[in-house]
Amino acid sequence: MKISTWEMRRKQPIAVLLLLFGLLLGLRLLAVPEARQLPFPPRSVGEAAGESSIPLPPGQISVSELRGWLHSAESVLLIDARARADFETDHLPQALHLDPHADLSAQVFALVQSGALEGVIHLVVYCDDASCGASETVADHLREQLGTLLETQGTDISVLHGGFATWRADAQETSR
Amino acid sequence: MSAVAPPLFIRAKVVLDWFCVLALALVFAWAGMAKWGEAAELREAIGHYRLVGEPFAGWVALLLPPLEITVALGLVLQATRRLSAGMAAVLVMGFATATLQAWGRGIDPACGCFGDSGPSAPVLHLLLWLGMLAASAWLWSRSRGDHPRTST
Repeated sequence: MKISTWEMRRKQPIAVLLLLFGLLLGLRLLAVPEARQLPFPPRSVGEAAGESSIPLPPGQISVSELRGWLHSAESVLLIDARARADFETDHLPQALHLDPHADLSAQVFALVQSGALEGVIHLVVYCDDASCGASETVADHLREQLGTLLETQGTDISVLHGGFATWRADAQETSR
Repeated sequence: MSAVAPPLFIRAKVVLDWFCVLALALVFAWAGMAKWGEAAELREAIGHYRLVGEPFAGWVALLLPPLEITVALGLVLQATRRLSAGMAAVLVMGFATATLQAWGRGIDPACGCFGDSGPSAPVLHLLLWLGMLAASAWLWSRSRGDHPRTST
């Protein structure tokens, strides 16, 4: 009976690589306890409130991060980019309003003139929820108009992931 | 009369074989080792590409470093070189596709390819991918030595 050794030779590398891969994977799981949790990320309070556990895109922060900043000694300025009526009904504590549908350059100029940006380390913009684009629009405008000024004083600009809805769902304080 | 390749030409090919093996193996081993202990950071870096969500980002973060080191070791072994070269090419094309789509959507994913280090300029990424693809293709074509054989 003729046996094809070529067939065996073809499968041998696959077996060798699978064995190597299995050994290395086992070694990693043993050596790095954190790696065992990778496929099963724990649910956080923020996730339960609607925040995603998927790492946020650059330039966005979660409610829990914002909460940490607000509780730290670092100066945070919140910008509300929702409609004026919504802002007047309810907003995050100490937030200032910028209307993305009005003349943003003039509003930003007035903001600088008011001195509200002085000493600010984190500038956080938010709008209604994850689907609104107003916070991104305002954040981009701020970066464009105030890039040099903010860079000089070491201020970063972020967008609150999930916006006002996620903040409120997380039972966080608001102001009228 | 059969043509005989000049010895110098053969030697040059062997040298190029080993250059490609060592270069590719070093890059993959470096990439795998740099990410070995960085579980959460790697998942975050993968998430920045916005290509796969959870739990796939976690699975990729778990499997990628051992896979890269497997490819590096497989390239060094003669018996597994061809298959490893093919896997290397597939991985490089995967990395390139992920990074290009992120750039196309205006995202700078800060690739995390080599832990905290690695190329940052797009042109360096492109050069690295092209070089690795060329080396993989060379090794793939050079390892085509297996022919069907039978024994009784």
